[in-house]
Amino acid sequence: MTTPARRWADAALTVLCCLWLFPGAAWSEEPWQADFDAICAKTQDAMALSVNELNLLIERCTTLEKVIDTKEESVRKVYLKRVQLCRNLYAYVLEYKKNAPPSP
Amino acid sequence: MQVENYVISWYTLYCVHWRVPDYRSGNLGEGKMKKLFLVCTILLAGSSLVWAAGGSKKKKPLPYEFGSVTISNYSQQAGIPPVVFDHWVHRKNYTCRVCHVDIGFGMTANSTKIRAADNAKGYFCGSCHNGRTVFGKSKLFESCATSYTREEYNRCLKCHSLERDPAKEEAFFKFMDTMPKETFGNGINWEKAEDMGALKLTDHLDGVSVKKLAMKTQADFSLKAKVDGMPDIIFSHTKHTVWNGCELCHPDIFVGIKKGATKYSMIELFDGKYCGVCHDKVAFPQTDCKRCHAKQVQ
Repeated sequence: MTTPARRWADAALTVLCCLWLFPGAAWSEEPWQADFDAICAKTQDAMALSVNELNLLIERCTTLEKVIDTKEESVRKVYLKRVQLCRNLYAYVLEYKKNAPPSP
Repeated sequence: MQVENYVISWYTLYCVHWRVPDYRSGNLGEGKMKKLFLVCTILLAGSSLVWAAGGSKKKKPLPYEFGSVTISNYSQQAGIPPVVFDHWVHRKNYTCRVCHVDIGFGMTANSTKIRAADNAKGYFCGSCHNGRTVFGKSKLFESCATSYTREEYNRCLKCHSLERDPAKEEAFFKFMDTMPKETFGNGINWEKAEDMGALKLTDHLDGVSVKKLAMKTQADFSLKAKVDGMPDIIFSHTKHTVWNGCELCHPDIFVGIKKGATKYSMIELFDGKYCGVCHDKVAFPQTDCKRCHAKQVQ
């Protein structure tokens, strides 16, 4: 018969084993990278986003660019370009949506 | 530009003559035909004069050379030959988007300014060529390091080489034999190859690509040709979005979202703008008129 304390100990041990086995998943990604993934994950669906959502994404791109600008050269070279691709697409779709005639 | 004018005018005639079934039966109209012929003759005469004044005809690349890009930002400083990047080797396995969006390679040669240090940190070529990534049954060779031994130098020469490589040429022709044929470019109809399942392109690199929802299929659409008698263009939006995603073309290459919002001419296309960013350099050449001007003439 297992006690609650024993169950907690087993769970903690499992988590520790997972962290030891997959360290990359736990520590390699910096917060800005998660932010980048979240922002740029919507490019496939940009036309379906609302004006507010697009504005918010563009704002997040600007903030992210400032963070990436502080990173080392290789990161800056790759990720600034990637963020700009996302940002430009959102800005482009936003402009279209703002100028599109209202749907009947 | 002068060579392009020459090409455009003669291919206009070529296409009108061979691709429009009703042309010889008189549907185009004698007046229109005369006008078209006059325009072509003027273009040809003008371009010939410019050409004679100092232009030179560009050498047509061989099938295995088509799409090769010579990259030379820092190679000479490092005392090694430039990189000759073979597009065909990569495009047979990956969509354009993986490299030009997810990895971040620019769309023009030498625009990315790749350094050995970038590769060593796992960016650009080093995203895959890191000595760890397994492709098929073998590990992909590691890209150049910032410093290397005499033995490692041979690895550098896998890409840093301007010499003809018979093994690479043989590999190309062996691959080509399994693919549907095309007259122009490198002789492969890549679109057909994917459609018939001869190619299975990877669109995601673990640790590099962003996880995204499946893209909504974009419908193909037609665009009006500017020359009378020339079949209208069927733009394969579906294929372009699958291979490129949205952000590779919009807004950097095509500014207008609304169909027909971006106005362009064949002269601009041959000058490397719009469709010409890829077509002629890597994708099939624009001299293959019928690939785009494909709408049946009524």
